[in-house]
Amino acid sequence: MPRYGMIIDLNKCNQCEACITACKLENNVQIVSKENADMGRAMFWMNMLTISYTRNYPDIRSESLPMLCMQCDEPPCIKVCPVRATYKRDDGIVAQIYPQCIGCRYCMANCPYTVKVFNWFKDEQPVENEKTCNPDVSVRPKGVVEKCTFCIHRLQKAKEQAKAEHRKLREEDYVPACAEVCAAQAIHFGDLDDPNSNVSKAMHDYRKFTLQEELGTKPKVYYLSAKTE
Amino acid sequence: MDINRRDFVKLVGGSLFGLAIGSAADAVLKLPKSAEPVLYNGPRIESWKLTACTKCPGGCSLRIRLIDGLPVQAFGNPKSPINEGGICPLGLASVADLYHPSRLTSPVKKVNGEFKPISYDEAFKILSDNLKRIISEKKENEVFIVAQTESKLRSDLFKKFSSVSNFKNLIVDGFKETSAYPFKKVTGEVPDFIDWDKCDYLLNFGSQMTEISQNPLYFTRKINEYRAKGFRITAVQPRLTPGVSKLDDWIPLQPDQFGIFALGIAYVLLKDERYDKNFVEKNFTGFNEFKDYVLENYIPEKVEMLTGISSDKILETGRKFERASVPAAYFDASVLYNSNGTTNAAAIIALNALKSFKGFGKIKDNPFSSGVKNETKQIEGVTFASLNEKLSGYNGIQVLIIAGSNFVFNNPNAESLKKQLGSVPFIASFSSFVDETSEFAHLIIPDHSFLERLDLLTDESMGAPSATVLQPVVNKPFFKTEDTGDVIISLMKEIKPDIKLSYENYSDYVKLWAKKIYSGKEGILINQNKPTVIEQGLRKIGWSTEQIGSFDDYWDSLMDAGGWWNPFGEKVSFNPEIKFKNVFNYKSFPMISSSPQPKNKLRLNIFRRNLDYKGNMSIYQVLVEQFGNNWKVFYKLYAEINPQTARSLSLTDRSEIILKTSKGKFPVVLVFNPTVKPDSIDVPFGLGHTVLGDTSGVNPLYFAENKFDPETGLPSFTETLVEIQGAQLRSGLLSQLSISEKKQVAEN
Ligand code: SF4
Ligand code: SF4
Ligand code: SF4
Repeated sequence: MPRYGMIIDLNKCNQCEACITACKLENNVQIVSKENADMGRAMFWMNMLTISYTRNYPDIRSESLPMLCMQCDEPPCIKVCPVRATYKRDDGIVAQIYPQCIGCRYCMANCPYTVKVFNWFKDEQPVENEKTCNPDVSVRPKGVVEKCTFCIHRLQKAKEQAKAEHRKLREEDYVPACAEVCAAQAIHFGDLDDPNSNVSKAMHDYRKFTLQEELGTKPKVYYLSAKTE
Repeated sequence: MDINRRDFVKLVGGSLFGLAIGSAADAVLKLPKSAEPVLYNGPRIESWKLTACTKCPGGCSLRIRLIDGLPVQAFGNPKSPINEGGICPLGLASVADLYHPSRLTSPVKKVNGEFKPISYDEAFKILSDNLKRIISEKKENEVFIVAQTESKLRSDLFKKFSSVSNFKNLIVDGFKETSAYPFKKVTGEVPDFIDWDKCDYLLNFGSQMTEISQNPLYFTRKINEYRAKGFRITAVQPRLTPGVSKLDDWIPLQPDQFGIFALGIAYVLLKDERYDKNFVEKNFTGFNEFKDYVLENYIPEKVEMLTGISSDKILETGRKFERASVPAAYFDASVLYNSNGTTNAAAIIALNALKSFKGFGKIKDNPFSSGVKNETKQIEGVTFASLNEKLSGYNGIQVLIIAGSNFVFNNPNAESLKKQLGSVPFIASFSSFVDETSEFAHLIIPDHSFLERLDLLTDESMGAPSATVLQPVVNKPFFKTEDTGDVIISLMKEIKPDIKLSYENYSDYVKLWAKKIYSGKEGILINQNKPTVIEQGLRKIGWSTEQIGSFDDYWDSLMDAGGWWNPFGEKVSFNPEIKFKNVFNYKSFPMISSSPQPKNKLRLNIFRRNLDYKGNMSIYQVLVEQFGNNWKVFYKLYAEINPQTARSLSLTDRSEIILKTSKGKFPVVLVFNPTVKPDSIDVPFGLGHTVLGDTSGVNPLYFAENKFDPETGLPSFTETLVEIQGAQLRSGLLSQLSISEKKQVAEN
């Protein structure tokens, strides 16, 4: 059984934010109304987070990183769900069963990375976005929690395709949208347990770190720190 | 009960799996009637088509995902040498073009202040009659054409049209064209590319290379490779943009001072005598005078006084530049957006001349270079400066033709521009939307969306000529729109009936260009593997394993492949003649452009982000939302301020404040960003439309001073002084006040 994970090379990422747009469109994440956005209810599964500033002006530099669900191996979010609407799959992906979610938002509160978002309302979508929404991904009803799924629907499709072609799933068959679109080729994705996968190879880099390691959540999203010149 | 799709979606809300599956009559979506059965009852078959993105100068190759023949998503084409599978936020959002509810679906004519749909024939007649009348009255000089396009084929066609019809006032409002302007002016020649393989030091003057540039996604990869090789980049920019945040060397400087700084660097090279003497002797007319002038006026200490950049930093940068074996001082169109833009660019060109332009190169045999060369000379001097002049003159313009350009939104002088446009007797536009400029048109013949048109997007910035295919991904255009290229060709035939054109329509015209690739028998389709070194050698001597069939076959393969490029063509060095004296008196290099900044005011630094290219973001709701996401300030203009400056003004993070310029007041949400220049307040450009798409927020440019580069007429984005209402009354900029002044404030 594979164990899917991601490595984002911050030395390559130039904060173009294409991963954010791609994620939003791929997963039909709703565009909330202006009023709701103002109330802090905008929904992004992928964000650009500035984590620190180093040195002083004018030598100051900012460190930002694309931030998504860490797909924790020890996910604190699933432990608190009273109805088991969120669980960890065998392949390591932390999934959400929308029809089962009762909207208590415990998981949101228990996620140390604050990456889960809640559908407060079903806002009307811009018509042009309705037309360009991805038919592979269900839209979520009001009152449920959602988050990055590593584009799990792409895995499903890739598996079916491989099956139809009587072959095994290849590494390149399944890539989440953010990793696919990244022009800097900063996002590696694949099976962490396969020593030959790109993502495993990138794991040997000395620059590797995870966010809030001390919490013991064991994120499967790793970062490679930016090299300072 | 009649229920439209919008209500339907609302009703079923979230339980609907896949919003695209609908079943009710569609009253809202911009979709042709013929597509409705497919939408509702289609078998939901997925297919992919290749085309290109036209949203910025990059011209990335795209893979469009279609469901039952209707485009739903855009991705990058992994085979493209330009973007290698990458795509930017604009490209991702661009599919919405096709379905946008505000899209014009047929030609329209203004009747009593409102646009009424008319037939294409009627629209064409109105336009051609107006032009024929002008020609018969011999008032060709009173026609003005502004064409925003990044397609060389299209811009060449406009140039052809302009020369055929003798309408000499043509501005090609394109990034590449604009970037080339200073080079054309000073050297008569334009370099094709930065020689990344050889260049070992890049001094970048203000270009947001990885965000808004000639080739953002290619540059993204190239800069990463370049840094990985250990080479350094120095960014001279007013802002720590995302692309700069990883660089070791950032010199915060306002663009109007780029020229002074460049000459400060030139001083170091001249003083140290580390410039290419052979080159300047041969190619630099009046070099000695130039040298004396620089040595006299741009002493680092003096440059420090004028720019605030320490003389040590100037020396350090100068030494890096002179020691590099292949340095390049890079700039692009962005450098021109200030009150002395072209002069600053000329100074940067002069700096490159001292190192014989080593960092740049030319393509030897560029199949796309010929074009309409002879005919273009006469129009190259026409810029927005001429347009502004003509518009403000009495009876200056009888007919204005606007293709795509929304120059009103991109202009601080919008109010008077609007008035002036209101008095132009006839304005025709080819915009797909009613925007802040096309709203003044009397007639609009909307262009196809980019997903419905055919074109070749040519490029040289990779050091290899390339042509990416833009082709219709839908069977036929959704609406009664018309390819602007076809309109122009028909116009040429109509007003000059005896003209002999070698093409009937735009698609024939595109094929003519493709024939250049076909008959050149060089390069490869982008879906082919790069040949080995041996194969390259064999190719050079004319040997090839490929069977090249008829042109029609070749054309089909070109369309299937999505593009062509020639990575093994010969490159030559860029060896222009510098005739400064004739074109520019370098003595006009300003010592300083604006008066010193008063202590109680900040510089309003309006910056661009990659979510918006020339004010087109507002039609993509997904991007407008994303625009606010960095600071979580949605649908409102935010202003970034250095926390130190803010504290000295007793301002708090996230406070809603009013900024005041000489033009008026506008509200912003203040956010603290320690990377902002302490004497500036940084505000993003992109919000504040009045008619195009999302209308939230404010366009800060409307509050900027009416300052323009006198040569190109491009507006300044960074030279407005701003006060924070209420704040300066309390304390002024305490950090910058003298002790006695501070005391005075304290006493008060
Ligand atoms: S798409 Fe790639 S380069 Fe752009 S922000 Fe995301 S990770 Fe960074
Ligand atoms: S990042 Fe948060 S939502 Fe994602 S698995 Fe970990 S705890 Fe759960
Ligand atoms: S970089 Fe330019 S050409 Fe490429 S996808 Fe983005 S907008 Fe389109």
